[in-house]
Amino acid sequence: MIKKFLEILEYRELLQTLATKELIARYHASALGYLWVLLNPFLMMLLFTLVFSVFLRIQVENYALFFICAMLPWNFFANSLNQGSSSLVGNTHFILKFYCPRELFPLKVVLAHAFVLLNGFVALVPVILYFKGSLSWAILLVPVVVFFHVLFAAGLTLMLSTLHVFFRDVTHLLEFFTVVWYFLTPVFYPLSMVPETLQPLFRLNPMYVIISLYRDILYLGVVPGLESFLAAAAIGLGTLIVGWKTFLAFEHAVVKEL
Amino acid sequence: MIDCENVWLRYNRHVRRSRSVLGALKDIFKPREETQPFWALQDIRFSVRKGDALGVIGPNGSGKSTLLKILGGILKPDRGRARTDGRIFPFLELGTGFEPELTGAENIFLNGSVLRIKREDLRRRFDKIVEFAELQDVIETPIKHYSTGMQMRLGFAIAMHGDPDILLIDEVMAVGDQSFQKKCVQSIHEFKEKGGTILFVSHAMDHVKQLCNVSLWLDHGVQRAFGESSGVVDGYLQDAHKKEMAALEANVRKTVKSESAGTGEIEIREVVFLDENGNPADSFKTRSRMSARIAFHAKTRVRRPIFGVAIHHVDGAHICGPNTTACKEVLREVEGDGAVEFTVDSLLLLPGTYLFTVGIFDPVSHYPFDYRDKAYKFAVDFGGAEGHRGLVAMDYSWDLNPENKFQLEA
Repeated sequence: MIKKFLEILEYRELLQTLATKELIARYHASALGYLWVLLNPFLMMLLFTLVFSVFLRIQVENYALFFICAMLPWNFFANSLNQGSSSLVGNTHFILKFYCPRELFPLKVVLAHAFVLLNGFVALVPVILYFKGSLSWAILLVPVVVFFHVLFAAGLTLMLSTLHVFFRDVTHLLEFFTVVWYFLTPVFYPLSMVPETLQPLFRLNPMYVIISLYRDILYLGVVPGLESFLAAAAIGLGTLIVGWKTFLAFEHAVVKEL
Repeated sequence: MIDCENVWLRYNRHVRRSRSVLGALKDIFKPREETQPFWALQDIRFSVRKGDALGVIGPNGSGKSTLLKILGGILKPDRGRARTDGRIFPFLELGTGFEPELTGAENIFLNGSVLRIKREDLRRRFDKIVEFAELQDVIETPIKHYSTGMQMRLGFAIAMHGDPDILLIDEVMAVGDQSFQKKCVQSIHEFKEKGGTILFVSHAMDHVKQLCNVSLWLDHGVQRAFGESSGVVDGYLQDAHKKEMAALEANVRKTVKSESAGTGEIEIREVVFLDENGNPADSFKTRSRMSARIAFHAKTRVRRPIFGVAIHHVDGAHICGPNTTACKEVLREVEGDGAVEFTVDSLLLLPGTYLFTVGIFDPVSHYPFDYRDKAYKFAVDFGGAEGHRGLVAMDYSWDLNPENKFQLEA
């Protein structure tokens, strides 16, 4: 794995080109282009605020900010999984004609969406200023959380893209599964609204751990405890290692199957 | 350097296997024998030094492309080892790795990074690449508007400007317009002269002989021969020729009926081919002497019978059909057993299999007493000095300087 990691480093220019291409290809044809990626979550924010804060009256202060702090990372996560899982099959012609580490294909999707996420956070700054009047120094910790989040998403995407080569329904099942996961993760509602008996179960959700970190930093403006960071690091690294090992174990079979 | 040590590669041919989860669940309850392992490469071993050009030849489906994929790092051998030194540029299909939405210029950088050419190197050589590909006017146009030929030119130009050590080429010369093909061939030769290693897969034996000093002949995943190009290529051609002829003959046997037809007063008993020493033979060299001894039996007394023969190539071409009406003399009368001999002093036929027809005719009605259509066959051997293309060897000469305009050199 270390050898493979060094090889991927050697191919970083290609990875960068592929990730850029991924973004360009997706937003090239529309009039607003790349702006859509940034605009979309904020439109969602307005909609959810209208429904949950105005109609349903969830008792959450600054609901719009509360929601968007979790929605941006969730978008990154769900898009990475959904699009990354089909990335090996989608690049068949490429994989069969040229050699490059095959990890690049799932990784380019994850990285492209990570780039979108970072841009989203930049766009988030005025929203925070509007609601809170000031920025907390804690915001400097966001890249650390993003890093662990990317590891988590990359690990899952590596595993899912391998699986998808052998079972093509993976993409459809995944689409449904990410929606279920979305509803079971406190993204648009606070954990406190979940029945108390179920709360310990909800805390086991890795995405809850990660999203709580984002929310502590961006919504509450506080520095999360070290143990939360350690938990996120364990989730990220653990998933990456398992996912990558799976990927490597089946890599040869994948190329023959494509 | 390329080094293959006992390389084996297996594909699992799925007879029927489901790629859906539900189907896979069903498959669990079925016997497992549905996947058939299939060895695409079996025990391939050869090594090529730096500066060598290796031609890989063989019929379709013999594993040539699979071998290239292994050397290009795309597939790993199931057994054995394949080692390569230096930067390998695979040319399995020109123009792959291009992104249609991006412009030619952007694709140069994309494709270049696939081949791991440094960005700065690409920037430095950008103009040269564009010039070589002859795409100055359209380099800022999205590549989806390019023709196949233009995409190929760009792909080739990028690779040739990236300082490869080993080029893997899969039938590039078969595509593109004439002038660019020439340019490709030229730059491949230049690359070779500079000490580059080439692995060249082709069905064009002339190209292989011209470009490659060593060749590898694959047949259904098995290594048939490896060594000096001329020997390997000739062996392959001979084998292909034999197979082609066998296939044609099998076809002929099915379609042409070779029973006798005729009124039956005279019966053809036997036809034997004789070589220049009068010994029975069924294969001859181009420009050698060939005879056919035709033994017959006349049941009654027959006056002035005409004997005729015809020669066809197995693929159906009628080459000649002489008969005895052209002779100054005739046999006044035949009865009982007898024989005539048809002789060609110099057999002007090129290698191949030929079918021989014999008939004996009534001199007045020209109706056959006996007629054996394409019932006999002889071969002209492969490997003569005349080459192997076409049917007929002719006497010819060249005058290189009929106007005395140029100087001749011995």
